[in-house]
Amino acid sequence: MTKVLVVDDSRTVRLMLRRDLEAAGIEVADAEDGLTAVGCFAEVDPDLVLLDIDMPGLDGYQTLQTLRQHGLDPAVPVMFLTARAGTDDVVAGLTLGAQDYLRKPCAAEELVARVTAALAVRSREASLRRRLDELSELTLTDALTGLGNRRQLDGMMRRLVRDEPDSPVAVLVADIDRFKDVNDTHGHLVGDIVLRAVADRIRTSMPENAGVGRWGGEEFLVILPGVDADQARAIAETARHAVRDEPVATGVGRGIEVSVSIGLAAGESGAVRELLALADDALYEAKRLGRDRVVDRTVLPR
Amino acid sequence: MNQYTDDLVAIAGDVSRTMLGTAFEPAPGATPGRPGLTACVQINGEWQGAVLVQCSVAAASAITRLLLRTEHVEPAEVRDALGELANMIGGNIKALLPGPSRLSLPAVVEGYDHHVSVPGTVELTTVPFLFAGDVIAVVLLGEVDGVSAVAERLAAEVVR
Repeated sequence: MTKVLVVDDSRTVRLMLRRDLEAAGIEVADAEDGLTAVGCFAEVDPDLVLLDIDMPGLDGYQTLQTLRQHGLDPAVPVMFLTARAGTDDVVAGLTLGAQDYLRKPCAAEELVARVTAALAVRSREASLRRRLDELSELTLTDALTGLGNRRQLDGMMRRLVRDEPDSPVAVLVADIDRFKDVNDTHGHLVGDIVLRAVADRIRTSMPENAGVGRWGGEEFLVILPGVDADQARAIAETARHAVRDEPVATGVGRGIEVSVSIGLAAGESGAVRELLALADDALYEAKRLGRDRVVDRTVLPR
Repeated sequence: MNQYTDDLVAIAGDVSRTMLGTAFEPAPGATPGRPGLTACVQINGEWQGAVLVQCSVAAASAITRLLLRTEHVEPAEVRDALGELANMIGGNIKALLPGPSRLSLPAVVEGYDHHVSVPGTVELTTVPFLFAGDVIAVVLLGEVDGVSAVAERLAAEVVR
Protein backbone atom coordinates (compact mmCIF):
# COMPACT_ATOMS: atom_id res chain seq x y z
CA MET A 1 0.00 0.00 0.00
CA THR A 2 1.32 3.42 -0.86
CA LYS A 3 1.96 5.78 2.00
CA VAL A 4 1.73 9.56 2.19
CA LEU A 5 3.32 11.67 4.92
CA VAL A 6 1.12 14.71 5.64
CA VAL A 7 2.88 17.64 7.32
CA ASP A 8 0.54 20.41 8.47
CA ASP A 9 0.24 22.33 11.73
CA SER A 10 -3.56 22.36 11.55
CA ARG A 11 -5.12 19.30 13.12
CA THR A 12 -8.25 20.00 11.10
CA VAL A 13 -6.30 19.78 7.85
CA ARG A 14 -4.47 16.62 8.95
CA LEU A 15 -7.75 14.94 9.84
CA MET A 16 -9.38 15.96 6.56
CA LEU A 17 -6.44 14.80 4.47
CA ARG A 18 -6.26 11.51 6.34
CA ARG A 19 -9.95 10.93 5.75
CA ASP A 20 -9.83 11.78 2.03
CA LEU A 21 -6.62 9.87 1.26
CA GLU A 22 -7.55 6.80 3.28
CA ALA A 23 -10.88 6.69 1.45
CA ALA A 24 -8.83 6.42 -1.74
CA GLY A 25 -6.87 3.46 -0.35
CA ILE A 26 -3.76 5.45 0.53
CA GLU A 27 -2.08 4.94 3.89
CA VAL A 28 -1.42 8.16 5.80
CA ALA A 29 1.12 9.15 8.43
CA ASP A 30 1.15 12.71 9.70
CA ALA A 31 3.39 15.24 11.42
CA GLU A 32 2.33 18.51 13.01
CA ASP A 33 5.40 20.48 11.96
CA GLY A 34 8.59 20.33 9.95
CA LEU A 35 10.88 19.14 12.73
CA THR A 36 8.54 16.27 13.56
CA ALA A 37 8.52 15.31 9.88
CA VAL A 38 12.31 15.35 9.74
CA GLY A 39 12.39 13.14 12.83
CA CYS A 40 9.96 10.55 11.55
CA PHE A 41 10.27 10.37 7.76
CA ALA A 42 12.89 7.60 7.74
CA GLU A 43 10.66 5.35 9.82
CA VAL A 44 7.54 6.26 7.85
CA ASP A 45 9.35 5.71 4.53
CA PRO A 46 6.71 7.63 2.56
CA ASP A 47 6.01 7.33 -1.16
CA LEU A 48 4.96 10.99 -1.22
CA VAL A 49 5.11 13.97 1.14
CA LEU A 50 2.26 16.48 1.33
CA LEU A 51 3.62 19.63 2.92
CA ASP A 52 2.09 22.83 4.27
CA ILE A 53 4.25 25.95 4.02
CA ASP A 54 3.23 28.21 6.89
CA MET A 55 4.05 26.25 10.03
CA PRO A 56 5.68 27.08 13.37
CA GLY A 57 9.43 26.35 13.44
CA LEU A 58 10.60 25.19 10.03
CA ASP A 59 8.38 26.45 7.26
CA GLY A 60 7.51 24.16 4.37
CA TYR A 61 10.38 25.33 2.18
CA GLN A 62 12.91 24.73 4.98
CA THR A 63 11.29 21.40 5.79
CA LEU A 64 11.66 20.24 2.19
CA GLN A 65 15.33 21.22 2.12
CA THR A 66 16.01 19.60 5.50
CA LEU A 67 14.24 16.38 4.51
CA ARG A 68 16.38 16.15 1.35
CA GLN A 69 19.55 16.90 3.35
CA HIS A 70 18.62 14.13 5.77
CA GLY A 71 18.28 11.61 2.99
CA LEU A 72 14.71 11.75 1.72
CA ASP A 73 14.97 9.93 -1.60
CA PRO A 74 14.91 12.53 -4.40
CA ALA A 75 12.54 10.17 -6.21
CA VAL A 76 9.92 10.67 -3.47
CA PRO A 77 7.64 13.45 -4.72
CA VAL A 78 6.86 16.38 -2.44
CA MET A 79 3.67 18.38 -2.97
CA PHE A 80 2.91 21.66 -1.25
CA LEU A 81 -0.64 22.20 -0.02
CA THR A 82 -0.91 25.73 1.27
CA ALA A 83 -3.00 28.83 1.66
CA ARG A 84 -0.21 30.80 0.01
CA ALA A 85 -1.90 31.33 -3.29
CA GLY A 86 0.39 33.85 -4.97
CA THR A 87 2.28 33.08 -8.17
CA ASP A 88 5.60 33.93 -6.49
CA ASP A 89 4.84 31.34 -3.79
CA VAL A 90 4.04 28.68 -6.39
CA VAL A 91 7.24 29.46 -8.29
CA ALA A 92 9.30 29.33 -5.07
CA GLY A 93 7.86 25.93 -4.17
CA LEU A 94 8.37 24.38 -7.57
CA THR A 95 11.86 25.87 -7.85
CA LEU A 96 12.80 24.10 -4.62
CA GLY A 97 11.96 20.80 -6.25
CA ALA A 98 8.34 20.22 -5.29
CA GLN A 99 6.47 18.00 -7.71
CA ASP A 100 3.26 19.98 -7.43
CA TYR A 101 1.75 22.96 -5.63
CA LEU A 102 -1.84 22.91 -4.48
CA ARG A 103 -3.62 25.99 -3.25
CA LYS A 104 -6.03 25.81 -0.35
CA PRO A 105 -8.91 25.43 -0.60
CA CYS A 106 -8.43 22.28 -2.65
CA ALA A 107 -11.37 20.00 -3.32
CA ALA A 108 -10.88 16.48 -1.97
CA GLU A 109 -11.39 14.96 -5.43
CA GLU A 110 -8.69 17.14 -6.95
CA LEU A 111 -6.31 16.48 -4.09
CA VAL A 112 -6.71 12.72 -4.35
CA ALA A 113 -6.39 12.87 -8.14
CA ARG A 114 -3.16 14.84 -7.97
CA VAL A 115 -1.67 12.64 -5.27
CA THR A 116 -2.64 9.54 -7.23
CA ALA A 117 -1.11 10.97 -10.40
CA ALA A 118 2.13 11.82 -8.61
CA LEU A 119 2.27 8.33 -7.12
CA ALA A 120 1.71 6.82 -10.57
CA VAL A 121 4.61 8.85 -11.96
CA ARG A 122 6.77 7.69 -9.06
CA SER A 123 5.81 4.09 -9.70
CA ARG A 124 6.70 4.39 -13.41
CA GLU A 125 10.00 6.05 -12.52
CA ALA A 126 10.81 3.24 -10.08
CA SER A 127 10.02 0.67 -12.76
CA LEU A 128 12.26 2.46 -15.27
CA ARG A 129 15.02 2.72 -12.68
CA ARG A 130 14.85 -1.02 -12.02
CA ARG A 131 15.04 -1.68 -15.76
CA LEU A 132 17.98 0.68 -16.05
CA ASP A 133 19.74 -1.16 -13.23
CA GLU A 134 19.13 -4.45 -15.00
CA LEU A 135 20.51 -3.06 -18.25
CA SER A 136 23.52 -1.60 -16.43
CA GLU A 137 24.10 -5.02 -14.89
CA LEU A 138 23.95 -6.60 -18.32
CA THR A 139 26.56 -4.21 -19.69
CA LEU A 140 28.91 -5.35 -16.91
CA THR A 141 28.27 -9.08 -17.20
CA ASP A 142 29.79 -11.71 -19.45
CA ALA A 143 26.83 -13.34 -21.17
CA LEU A 144 28.32 -16.84 -21.35
CA THR A 145 29.67 -17.30 -17.83
CA GLY A 146 27.65 -14.76 -15.83
CA LEU A 147 30.91 -13.39 -14.42
CA GLY A 148 31.85 -9.75 -14.62
CA ASN A 149 33.21 -8.62 -17.95
CA ARG A 150 36.23 -6.53 -18.81
CA ARG A 151 34.32 -3.28 -18.28
CA GLN A 152 33.32 -4.29 -14.76
CA LEU A 153 36.87 -5.29 -13.82
CA ASP A 154 38.29 -2.10 -15.33
CA GLY A 155 35.82 -0.14 -13.20
CA MET A 156 36.85 -1.99 -10.08
CA MET A 157 40.53 -1.27 -10.76
CA ARG A 158 39.77 2.42 -11.33
CA ARG A 159 37.90 2.60 -8.02
CA LEU A 160 40.74 0.90 -6.16
CA VAL A 161 43.31 3.32 -7.57
CA ARG A 162 41.13 6.32 -6.83
CA ASP A 163 39.62 5.43 -3.47
CA GLU A 164 42.10 3.24 -1.60
CA PRO A 165 45.50 3.34 -3.29
CA ASP A 166 47.39 2.30 -0.12
CA SER A 167 45.33 -0.78 0.68
CA PRO A 168 46.62 -4.26 -0.17
CA VAL A 169 45.36 -6.11 -3.20
CA ALA A 170 46.23 -9.26 -5.12
CA VAL A 171 45.59 -9.95 -8.78
CA LEU A 172 45.19 -13.44 -10.28
CA VAL A 173 45.12 -14.23 -13.98
CA ALA A 174 43.92 -17.77 -14.74
CA ASP A 175 43.92 -19.43 -18.14
CA ILE A 176 42.41 -22.79 -19.07
CA ASP A 177 45.19 -25.13 -20.21
CA ARG A 178 44.98 -26.48 -23.76
CA PHE A 179 41.50 -25.04 -24.24
CA LYS A 180 42.00 -24.97 -28.03
CA ASP A 181 42.26 -28.78 -27.91
CA VAL A 182 38.89 -28.96 -26.10
CA ASN A 183 37.25 -26.90 -28.82
CA ASP A 184 38.99 -28.76 -31.64
CA THR A 185 38.20 -32.20 -30.19
CA HIS A 186 34.72 -31.74 -28.75
CA GLY A 187 33.37 -28.67 -30.53
CA HIS A 188 32.51 -25.17 -29.40
CA LEU A 189 29.33 -26.16 -27.56
CA VAL A 190 31.34 -28.39 -25.24
CA GLY A 191 33.95 -25.63 -25.06
CA ASP A 192 31.24 -23.30 -23.73
CA ILE A 193 30.24 -25.90 -21.12
CA VAL A 194 33.85 -26.09 -19.97
CA LEU A 195 34.14 -22.29 -19.83
CA ARG A 196 31.01 -22.04 -17.69
CA ALA A 197 32.13 -24.84 -15.36
CA VAL A 198 35.61 -23.37 -14.87
CA ALA A 199 34.12 -19.90 -14.32
CA ASP A 200 31.82 -21.33 -11.68
CA ARG A 201 34.59 -23.22 -9.90
CA ILE A 202 36.87 -20.18 -9.83
CA ARG A 203 34.06 -17.96 -8.56
CA THR A 204 33.11 -20.30 -5.72
CA SER A 205 36.77 -20.52 -4.66
CA MET A 206 37.02 -16.78 -4.11
CA PRO A 207 36.15 -14.56 -1.11
CA GLU A 208 32.90 -12.61 -1.33
CA ASN A 209 34.54 -9.24 -1.98
CA ALA A 210 36.62 -10.53 -4.89
CA GLY A 211 36.06 -9.16 -8.38
CA VAL A 212 35.89 -12.17 -10.67
CA GLY A 213 35.55 -11.76 -14.41
CA ARG A 214 36.18 -13.17 -17.83
CA TRP A 215 39.13 -11.20 -19.15
CA GLY A 216 39.50 -12.80 -22.56
CA GLY A 217 38.57 -16.00 -24.46
CA GLU A 218 39.53 -18.61 -21.86
CA GLU A 219 41.25 -16.22 -19.49
CA PHE A 220 39.86 -15.08 -16.13
CA LEU A 221 40.90 -12.18 -13.95
CA VAL A 222 40.41 -12.08 -10.19
CA ILE A 223 40.97 -8.95 -8.09
CA LEU A 224 41.31 -9.65 -4.39
CA PRO A 225 41.04 -6.47 -2.25
CA GLY A 226 42.70 -6.70 1.17
CA VAL A 227 44.63 -9.87 0.30
CA ASP A 228 48.43 -10.27 0.56
CA ALA A 229 50.67 -12.59 -1.46
CA ASP A 230 50.53 -15.53 0.98
CA GLN A 231 46.75 -15.45 1.12
CA ALA A 232 46.56 -15.01 -2.64
CA ARG A 233 48.72 -18.10 -3.27
CA ALA A 234 46.47 -20.18 -1.00
CA ILE A 235 43.35 -18.89 -2.75
CA ALA A 236 44.86 -19.55 -6.17
CA GLU A 237 45.75 -23.11 -5.20
CA THR A 238 42.20 -23.67 -3.96
CA ALA A 239 40.86 -22.48 -7.32
CA ARG A 240 43.36 -24.59 -9.28
CA HIS A 241 42.32 -27.71 -7.36
CA ALA A 242 38.64 -26.88 -7.71
CA VAL A 243 39.09 -26.86 -11.48
CA ARG A 244 41.24 -29.97 -11.88
CA ASP A 245 39.95 -32.31 -9.14
CA GLU A 246 36.68 -33.10 -10.87
CA PRO A 247 36.15 -33.63 -14.62
CA VAL A 248 33.69 -31.27 -16.24
CA ALA A 249 30.46 -33.12 -17.01
CA THR A 250 29.42 -32.60 -20.62
CA GLY A 251 26.61 -35.16 -20.74
CA VAL A 252 28.75 -37.55 -22.73
CA GLY A 253 31.20 -40.06 -21.25
CA ARG A 254 32.97 -39.44 -17.96
CA GLY A 255 33.54 -35.76 -18.59
CA ILE A 256 36.55 -33.71 -19.57
CA GLU A 257 39.55 -33.19 -17.37
CA VAL A 258 40.52 -29.54 -17.27
CA SER A 259 43.26 -27.59 -15.53
CA VAL A 260 44.22 -23.94 -15.21
CA SER A 261 47.48 -22.08 -14.96
CA ILE A 262 47.44 -19.09 -12.65
CA GLY A 263 49.76 -16.12 -12.39
CA LEU A 264 49.52 -13.78 -9.46
CA ALA A 265 51.02 -10.64 -7.98
CA ALA A 266 50.18 -8.77 -4.79
CA GLY A 267 50.93 -5.21 -3.66
CA GLU A 268 49.13 -1.90 -3.17
CA SER A 269 45.86 -1.03 -4.87
CA GLY A 270 47.34 2.14 -6.36
CA ALA A 271 49.56 -0.10 -8.51
CA VAL A 272 46.88 -2.59 -9.49
CA ARG A 273 47.55 -2.11 -13.24
CA GLU A 274 51.23 -2.93 -12.72
CA LEU A 275 50.23 -5.95 -10.63
CA LEU A 276 48.03 -7.11 -13.50
CA ALA A 277 51.01 -6.94 -15.87
CA LEU A 278 53.14 -8.91 -13.39
CA ALA A 279 50.40 -11.51 -12.94
CA ASP A 280 50.13 -11.82 -16.71
CA ASP A 281 53.88 -12.47 -16.92
CA ALA A 282 53.54 -15.02 -14.14
CA LEU A 283 50.78 -16.78 -16.08
CA TYR A 284 53.09 -17.22 -19.07
CA GLU A 285 55.76 -18.50 -16.73
CA ALA A 286 53.28 -21.06 -15.35
CA LYS A 287 52.49 -22.17 -18.89
CA ARG A 288 56.16 -22.40 -19.74
CA LEU A 289 56.85 -24.48 -16.65
CA GLY A 290 54.30 -27.09 -17.71
CA ARG A 291 50.82 -25.65 -16.90
CA ASP A 292 48.45 -26.59 -14.05
CA ARG A 293 50.31 -24.53 -11.51
CA VAL A 294 50.42 -21.20 -9.69
CA VAL A 295 53.30 -18.76 -10.18
CA ASP A 296 53.69 -15.74 -7.92
CA ARG A 297 55.44 -12.63 -9.29
CA THR A 298 54.94 -10.48 -6.22
CA VAL A 299 57.78 -7.98 -5.84
CA LEU A 300 58.53 -7.71 -2.14
CA PRO A 301 59.21 -4.17 -0.89
CA ARG A 302 62.85 -3.51 -0.11
CA MET B 1 -19.28 48.38 -1.37
CA ASN B 2 -15.56 49.08 -1.85
CA GLN B 3 -12.92 47.47 -4.06
CA TYR B 4 -12.20 44.71 -1.55
CA THR B 5 -15.76 43.61 -0.88
CA ASP B 6 -16.23 41.78 -4.16
CA ASP B 7 -12.93 39.94 -3.63
CA LEU B 8 -13.89 38.88 -0.12
CA VAL B 9 -17.32 37.69 -1.27
CA ALA B 10 -15.76 35.63 -4.08
CA ILE B 11 -12.95 34.15 -1.97
CA ALA B 12 -15.04 33.35 1.10
CA GLY B 13 -17.66 31.83 -1.18
CA ASP B 14 -15.08 29.67 -2.95
CA VAL B 15 -13.43 28.54 0.30
CA SER B 16 -16.72 27.64 1.95
CA ARG B 17 -18.07 25.89 -1.15
CA THR B 18 -14.91 23.82 -1.60
CA MET B 19 -14.30 22.96 2.02
CA LEU B 20 -17.81 22.77 3.46
CA GLY B 21 -19.80 21.82 0.41
CA THR B 22 -22.03 24.85 0.91
CA ALA B 23 -21.22 28.47 0.13
CA PHE B 24 -21.45 31.27 2.65
CA GLU B 25 -24.27 33.45 1.45
CA PRO B 26 -23.51 37.18 1.33
CA ALA B 27 -25.95 39.05 3.53
CA PRO B 28 -25.49 42.79 2.93
CA GLY B 29 -26.85 44.76 5.81
CA ALA B 30 -26.92 41.85 8.21
CA THR B 31 -25.53 42.79 11.57
CA PRO B 32 -23.16 40.33 13.14
CA GLY B 33 -23.86 39.65 16.79
CA ARG B 34 -21.14 39.68 19.37
CA PRO B 35 -18.59 37.17 18.10
CA GLY B 36 -17.63 34.32 20.35
CA LEU B 37 -14.57 33.60 18.24
CA THR B 38 -12.31 35.65 16.01
CA ALA B 39 -9.66 34.04 13.81
CA CYS B 40 -7.00 36.37 12.48
CA VAL B 41 -4.18 36.12 9.96
CA GLN B 42 -1.90 39.06 9.31
CA ILE B 43 -0.35 40.04 6.01
CA ASN B 44 3.03 41.69 6.42
CA GLY B 45 5.26 43.08 3.72
CA GLU B 46 4.62 45.37 0.80
CA TRP B 47 1.02 45.45 1.95
CA GLN B 48 0.12 45.46 5.65
CA GLY B 49 -3.13 44.21 6.96
CA ALA B 50 -5.13 41.34 8.37
CA VAL B 51 -8.11 39.14 7.65
CA LEU B 52 -10.51 38.35 10.48
CA VAL B 53 -13.24 35.74 10.49
CA GLN B 54 -15.71 36.39 13.30
CA CYS B 55 -18.66 34.30 14.34
CA SER B 56 -20.44 32.67 17.23
CA VAL B 57 -19.15 29.49 18.80
CA ALA B 58 -22.23 27.73 17.42
CA ALA B 59 -21.43 28.79 13.84
CA ALA B 60 -17.78 27.85 14.22
CA SER B 61 -18.81 24.48 15.60
CA ALA B 62 -21.11 23.96 12.61
CA ILE B 63 -18.23 24.79 10.27
CA THR B 64 -15.98 22.34 12.11
CA ARG B 65 -18.57 19.56 11.98
CA LEU B 66 -18.84 20.01 8.22
CA LEU B 67 -15.08 20.10 7.75
CA LEU B 68 -14.46 16.99 9.83
CA ARG B 69 -17.75 15.31 8.93
CA THR B 70 -18.39 14.41 12.51
CA GLU B 71 -21.09 15.26 15.01
CA HIS B 72 -18.96 15.81 18.06
CA VAL B 73 -16.20 18.39 17.95
CA GLU B 74 -13.86 19.57 20.68
CA PRO B 75 -13.30 23.29 21.44
CA ALA B 76 -9.67 22.96 20.29
CA GLU B 77 -10.86 21.54 16.99
CA VAL B 78 -13.30 24.42 16.57
CA ARG B 79 -10.55 26.99 17.15
CA ASP B 80 -8.19 25.17 14.78
CA ALA B 81 -10.86 24.89 12.07
CA LEU B 82 -11.78 28.58 12.22
CA GLY B 83 -8.08 29.47 12.14
CA GLU B 84 -7.63 27.32 9.05
CA LEU B 85 -10.62 29.00 7.40
CA ALA B 86 -9.09 32.44 8.07
CA ASN B 87 -5.77 31.10 6.75
CA MET B 88 -7.33 30.02 3.45
CA ILE B 89 -9.25 33.26 2.98
CA GLY B 90 -6.20 35.31 3.98
CA GLY B 91 -3.88 33.39 1.67
CA ASN B 92 -6.13 34.01 -1.29
CA ILE B 93 -6.63 37.69 -0.43
CA LYS B 94 -2.87 38.09 -0.10
CA ALA B 95 -2.44 36.77 -3.65
CA LEU B 96 -4.49 39.72 -4.92
CA LEU B 97 -2.57 42.39 -3.00
CA PRO B 98 0.77 44.03 -3.80
CA GLY B 99 3.67 41.81 -2.76
CA PRO B 100 5.96 40.44 -1.67
CA SER B 101 4.37 39.84 1.68
CA ARG B 102 4.02 37.06 4.24
CA LEU B 103 1.01 35.48 5.81
CA SER B 104 1.19 34.93 9.57
CA LEU B 105 0.08 31.78 11.29
CA PRO B 106 -3.56 32.09 12.35
CA ALA B 107 -4.39 33.33 15.83
CA VAL B 108 -7.79 32.72 17.40
CA VAL B 109 -9.40 34.88 20.08
CA GLU B 110 -12.20 33.40 22.16
CA GLY B 111 -14.72 35.26 24.31
CA TYR B 112 -17.64 37.63 24.00
CA ASP B 113 -16.03 40.91 24.80
CA HIS B 114 -13.03 41.39 22.58
CA HIS B 115 -11.86 43.71 19.87
CA VAL B 116 -9.04 42.87 17.44
CA SER B 117 -6.90 45.63 16.03
CA VAL B 118 -3.69 45.58 14.03
CA PRO B 119 -1.49 48.66 14.42
CA GLY B 120 -1.18 50.71 11.28
CA THR B 121 -4.38 49.43 9.74
CA VAL B 122 -8.01 50.43 9.53
CA GLU B 123 -11.08 48.43 8.70
CA LEU B 124 -11.33 48.40 4.91
CA THR B 125 -14.45 46.31 4.67
CA THR B 126 -16.61 43.94 6.66
CA VAL B 127 -18.64 41.41 4.73
CA PRO B 128 -21.43 39.59 6.55
CA PHE B 129 -22.43 36.12 5.39
CA LEU B 130 -25.29 33.91 6.43
CA PHE B 131 -24.40 30.41 7.46
CA ALA B 132 -26.42 27.89 9.46
CA GLY B 133 -28.81 30.62 10.53
CA ASP B 134 -26.01 32.69 11.92
CA VAL B 135 -24.00 35.66 10.69
CA ILE B 136 -20.32 35.20 9.95
CA ALA B 137 -18.30 38.36 9.38
CA VAL B 138 -15.16 38.46 7.28
CA VAL B 139 -13.21 41.62 7.95
CA LEU B 140 -10.30 43.05 6.01
CA LEU B 141 -8.00 45.42 7.86
CA GLY B 142 -5.37 47.28 5.91
CA GLU B 143 -3.63 50.44 4.91
CA VAL B 144 -5.62 53.18 3.27
CA ASP B 145 -4.48 53.57 -0.32
CA GLY B 146 -1.00 52.37 0.47
CA VAL B 147 -0.54 54.75 3.37
CA SER B 148 -0.75 53.24 6.77
CA ALA B 149 -3.36 54.56 9.12
CA VAL B 150 -0.65 55.51 11.57
CA ALA B 151 1.16 57.57 8.96
CA GLU B 152 -2.11 59.13 7.96
CA ARG B 153 -2.92 60.06 11.54
CA LEU B 154 0.56 61.48 12.08
CA ALA B 155 0.21 63.55 8.94
CA ALA B 156 -3.18 64.84 10.16
CA GLU B 157 -1.67 65.80 13.51
CA VAL B 158 1.12 67.72 11.77
CA VAL B 159 -1.48 69.66 9.79
CA ARG B 160 -3.34 70.51 12.96
